Amino acid sequence: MTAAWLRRLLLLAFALFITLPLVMVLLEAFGSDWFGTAMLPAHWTLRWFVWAAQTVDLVDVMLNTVEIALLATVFTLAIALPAAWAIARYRLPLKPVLIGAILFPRMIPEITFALGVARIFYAIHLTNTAVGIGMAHVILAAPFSVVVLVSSFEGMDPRLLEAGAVLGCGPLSLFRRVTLPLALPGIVAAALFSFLASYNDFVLTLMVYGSDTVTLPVQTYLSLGNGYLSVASAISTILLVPSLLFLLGMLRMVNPETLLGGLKGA
Amino acid sequence: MTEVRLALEGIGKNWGRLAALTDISLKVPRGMFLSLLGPSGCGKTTLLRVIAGTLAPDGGRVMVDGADVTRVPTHRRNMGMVFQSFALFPHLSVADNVAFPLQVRGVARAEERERVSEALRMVHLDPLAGRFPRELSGGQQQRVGLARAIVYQPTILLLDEPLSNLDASLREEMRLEISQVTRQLDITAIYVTHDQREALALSDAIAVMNHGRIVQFGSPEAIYRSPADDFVARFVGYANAIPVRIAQGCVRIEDGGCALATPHVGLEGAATAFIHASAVVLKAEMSDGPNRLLCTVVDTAFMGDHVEYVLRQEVGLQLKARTPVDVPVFARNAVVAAFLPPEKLIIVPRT
Repeated sequence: MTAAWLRRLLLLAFALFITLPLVMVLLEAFGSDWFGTAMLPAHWTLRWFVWAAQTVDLVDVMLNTVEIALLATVFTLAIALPAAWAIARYRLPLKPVLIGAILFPRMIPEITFALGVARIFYAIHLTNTAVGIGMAHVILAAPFSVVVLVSSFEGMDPRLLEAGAVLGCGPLSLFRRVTLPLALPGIVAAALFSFLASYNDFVLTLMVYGSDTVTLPVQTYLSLGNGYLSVASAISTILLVPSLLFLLGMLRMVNPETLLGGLKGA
Repeated sequence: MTEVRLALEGIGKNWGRLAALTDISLKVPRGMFLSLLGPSGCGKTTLLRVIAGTLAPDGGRVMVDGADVTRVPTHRRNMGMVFQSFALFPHLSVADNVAFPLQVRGVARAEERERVSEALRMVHLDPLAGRFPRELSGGQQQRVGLARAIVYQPTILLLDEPLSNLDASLREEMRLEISQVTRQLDITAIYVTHDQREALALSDAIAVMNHGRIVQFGSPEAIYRSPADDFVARFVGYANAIPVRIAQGCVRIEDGGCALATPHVGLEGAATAFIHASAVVLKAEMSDGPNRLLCTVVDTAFMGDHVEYVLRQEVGLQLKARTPVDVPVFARNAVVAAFLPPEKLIIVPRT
């Protein structure tokens, strides 16, 4: 009995530890007159959201963010799908080196990588373009996507493909009726993660954005620089919404263990 | 005679330097249930895959209804296949799994529904049409596999060890199911197995395979009664193999020197005499008769409806015997007279 309660208490403490910073942002965004060591703001208000809308072109910023995230998702899948298929299905020479090369960008400091990307983008005029920023974000999204997709493709029983062929499927119909449905959970997971990796990114974007390509994370930073903590918090709160929606949707659609399985497969 | 549905002509397949199939030729008339019987690695599954078209042979021709299909891809061969691993599509319900080959063939919706429910009725699964494969037992999954393989009236039904992933208790039930469905549809079936009892029970004909070759082809009775060589004899379940030497028509047990009376022998030199455990007759030590071997009981096992014995003859020859429970039971270390009735002995050349 006590042991069970202790476990619940520990779990709650851990959950709070993870979510407390988020709670602080929410309080800051919806509260006013919150000073010193007070537990909660003195008043509740939507004023900061109104201010945010007045001082910043929020719709534009949101559209920028989503456009870049969608481009990044498409670019990432275009690269990760064939790469993962090749890694999972064929005997490749130097396979470990290949996987290492794909994971490498995530293992070095993002700012270092961003500096290099900025250098290239300045040279070929890709800064301040949605396509350019979307391409840069592939670096962030591809490693995880490849890992999830490899695990998804490797888990596919080759005998099911053989069964499909015997039952009358030509190569195209086999892909549409068997391969794709079986791989779909992995593809959806990879797409969602790619979208969020781009949507949430700050460091890379900061190095290559321009006046036409301000994203929500960058705008949060800019508002903060202007001295408006509460406005920055309001923008951050808006920034949070899709992530939370995706998380909920994903937990319903995709078995979370598929994702953990993907990590294990790395 | 009846028309030939499947003919294999000189099929060969090598894995690197290893010969998986060597010069396989056979003819399967329409409606025949043929088993490919052999130990694992004998090439039987490889041969099935060549027939299905999922594997290209290095040489030879696969003929279906007189047409050469060797180069026809799998999906255009109209074969039905039941897999050892069931190979049901996990993302489709039972009904959709069975409907799959019909949808691929563009069968009209109404006809599709009718044929799916008919196929499911045939394997007694109509109440489970809406379930998913993971919600079914192994036996039920394999029945779905069977329904999916017959629903589009394939030219030939291929079965790749369909019972070996099932619990022993389910195997007989599923075997009867396969037997009934194939007879009912009068379909040409090729059944791969390493279990001689399945092959004997189901087949019109059996091709026994070893090392990538067909070593004997014939009816179950013919294979069981007169195995072509000692591999086949062992494989179809002859428990006792007695090395013998034949000189001028006289059969003698090697080492023991004791002569055996046998019905007919057209052989000379080294051979093996086979006899089923149940054909060995055990009597008290002092009894007399032809082919009497004096043995010591090494082990006995009471099996309920029969008793199993392991016997050792003076010179070291080991025999297995199986007797009904109503005859006297001999204890361990007892000395008994084991008789090998001449008409039950089979002499085959040693390979």
